[in-house]
Amino acid sequence: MTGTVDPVSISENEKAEATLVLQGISKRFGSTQALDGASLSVRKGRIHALVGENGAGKSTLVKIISGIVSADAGIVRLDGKAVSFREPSDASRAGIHLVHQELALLPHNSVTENVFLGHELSGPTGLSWSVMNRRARDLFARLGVALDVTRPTGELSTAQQQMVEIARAILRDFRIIILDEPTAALPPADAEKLFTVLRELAAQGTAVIYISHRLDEIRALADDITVLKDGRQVATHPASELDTAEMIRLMVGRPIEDLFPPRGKPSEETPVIEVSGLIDPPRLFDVSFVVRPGEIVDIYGLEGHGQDEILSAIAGARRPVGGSLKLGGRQIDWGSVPAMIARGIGFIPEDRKAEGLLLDLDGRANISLPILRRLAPNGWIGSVREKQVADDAAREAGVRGSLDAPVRALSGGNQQKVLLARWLAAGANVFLMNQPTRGVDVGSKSEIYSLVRKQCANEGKAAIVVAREITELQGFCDRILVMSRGRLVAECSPDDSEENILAAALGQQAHAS
Amino acid sequence: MSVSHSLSPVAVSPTGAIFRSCKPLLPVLIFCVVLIAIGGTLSPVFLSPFNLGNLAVQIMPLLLVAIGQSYAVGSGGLDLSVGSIVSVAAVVAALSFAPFGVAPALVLAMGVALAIGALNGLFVSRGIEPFLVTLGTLSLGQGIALFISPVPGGTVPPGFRQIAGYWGQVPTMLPMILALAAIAIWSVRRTRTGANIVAVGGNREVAHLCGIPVRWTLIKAYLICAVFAALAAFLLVARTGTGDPTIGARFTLDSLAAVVLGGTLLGGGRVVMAGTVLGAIALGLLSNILNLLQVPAFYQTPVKGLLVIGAVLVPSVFARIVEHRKALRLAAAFRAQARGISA
Repeated sequence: MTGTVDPVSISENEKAEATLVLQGISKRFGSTQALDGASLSVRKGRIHALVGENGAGKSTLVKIISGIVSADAGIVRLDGKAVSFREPSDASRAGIHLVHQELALLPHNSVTENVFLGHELSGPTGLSWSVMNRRARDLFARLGVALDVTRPTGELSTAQQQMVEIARAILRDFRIIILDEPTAALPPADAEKLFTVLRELAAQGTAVIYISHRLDEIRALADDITVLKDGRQVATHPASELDTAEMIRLMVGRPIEDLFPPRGKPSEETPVIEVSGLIDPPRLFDVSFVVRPGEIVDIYGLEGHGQDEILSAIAGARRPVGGSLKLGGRQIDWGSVPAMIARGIGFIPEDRKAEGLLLDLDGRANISLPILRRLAPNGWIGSVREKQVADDAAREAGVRGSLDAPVRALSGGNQQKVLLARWLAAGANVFLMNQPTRGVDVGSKSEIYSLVRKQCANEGKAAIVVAREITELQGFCDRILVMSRGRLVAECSPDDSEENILAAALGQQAHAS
Repeated sequence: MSVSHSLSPVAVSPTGAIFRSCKPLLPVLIFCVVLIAIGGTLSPVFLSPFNLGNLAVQIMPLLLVAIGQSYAVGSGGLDLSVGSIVSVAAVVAALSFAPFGVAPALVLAMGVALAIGALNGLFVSRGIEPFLVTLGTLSLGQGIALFISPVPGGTVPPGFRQIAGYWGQVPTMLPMILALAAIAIWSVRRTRTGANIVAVGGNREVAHLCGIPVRWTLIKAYLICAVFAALAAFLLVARTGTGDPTIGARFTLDSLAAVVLGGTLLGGGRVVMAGTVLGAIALGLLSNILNLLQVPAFYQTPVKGLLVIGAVLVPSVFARIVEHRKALRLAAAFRAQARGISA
């Protein structure tokens, strides 16, 4: 590897202290220059946040550190010695562990099996699971997480699964732990628990590299912050010296005045959606609410408290036990996706890669998917009309990137816009959006917000959003319905404090069970 | 039924763990019990020592092939070539006894089986679809077997034939086969190879990131599968006294049926080896009962097919009904409570 000159010079003093130093790292994927002489220096016992827009090179940088991809140019030094990892196992031997964004867990295997995966302990009669179970139980006790370690990992919540990954890292005594957007799918209370664990790890001398789009959480957690933009390091500061506005300015290269578009006016028209007495034990109990034209309503709850099930019931993907649904004043039966699409429901599921998009098909095919019957009445697809409809919708949704390439190649933000374009093309008048900005960069987030707001304000459409970040839904929504244990427990205004909303979501939980 | 979805405390119960590990076995166990009950009721000779001994002899080769197949399926693929491996190994062994002697003949036959297994493993580990790879080696193996001996042939020394004999009514090889089955069951959770196969089958990428040698693990899975197929071939040669180039054909699908009946997931990630053993036993029981009831061979195949589909379908439908019932009951209870509060 040959080093290029590093754009932000690191003082000699800093170099001496640093555990891991990257200098002039470049990496090109096809025509994309993911990293262009990026540098980073991480010290032991400190939490170092990496921030930047999608495509700024954060994920590529940590993949290079953890041996998943190798750099085209640049030097990686560990304790002053130049290293080069060809395989994840090389990095792992050097004490570096990456907690993946898509968790690297086996869903059918137990917690213990996942924690010890690839490094099982042997006894006289083969692998000794009783010993491993005990060690795992001790470990989770130390982390303050109560978990049945013999349960299949797939049955756990995302937060718990995250802890399994972290337990894996702690167990093997890694010196550098890298987390790539660990809280993207975590409710705030669990995120807080994770932060406690990370702070403790740092206190014991572990270096933590932390990637997140949530700037407020980075300000609360990180000791140092490095901002990446276009594959380069633009700044590294102690967290205390960098405020959120400045962080955003560095990330996007310009200040974002208003991340959120202005709110709409409340309307008194016939509700587009009227849900009453929706019941589907054990997930939903007697849920009733209305959404009027022009409104963006958020359903907030801790993970697994029923909000996801409300969306999938309205989308027709789940047939509840009871309750009634009116769309535009007309009674509709539950349980049929085609019927719901025909009535103007557009569902954007939580996991866009698994449930939203056909990743290997191009953007156009993904957009026209639900309306093929309309676009291809004779059964022939790929018509001029299909192209036109899809292209128009993509333009309206602001998709950047080729519609001819597999959507896999698009950034998270653009993938999400393809999903929005799908329902614009289908003429949906109610958008059901589950975590619409999960893993989406700040710029795209703001574009998605204003697109949905514009649709609602100008065309009398409506949106029901499930989101986990309270500050986000405060900015984006007109009303916040709070769920707890399958029941609607409160309706908040976006002007209510974050603490109040969270308390409502937690309140019921405290005296139930 | 508390659905704990946060990092809140949960009860840790050891019985829960035991129940969970036995749960996938339940459907196949019930299927076996039902078959035994039916056989015992409808046929007077079903439970006779003679028939049970005969049953064991019939089941043993499939049991071995199905155990091997479980490793291939567990690694996230499948081995369609097991039947051909059985045929080739049988033919090679039968034709080599006379010129080379028993031990060299068996070594040679095992070598041929391992070669096909290695071919499977090498291609699969390089990322080619297991279905395609093993479909290819299925034809290859069958072709080689027919090329070596177009019709059943070879001479099997009486000494070797004795392994298909009986001690009283108990087949000589039964204890050995049961020991092998026990080792196989133990291997899945208690050996690193077993754990690695399950991990690779669950998610190749995850296994790779956790430092598991993915390619070598896949090769091992197909090698183990071939070894068990060859062992089954030896049993068949001893029993039939000849090397039949088509004797293995039926094992391909039967072994997959036994694996799936036993609760192992097609696609990998969960291996229920004890279930495979019971699955093979269930298939053997089924054939045996249909024979005893003198169901014409003509009807046996479709009946078997329907019963196997039923055995896989019934538990999943049953589970869904139970879940729905539970939801209805909870809903009724909730409404009754709500009425009580408002009244």
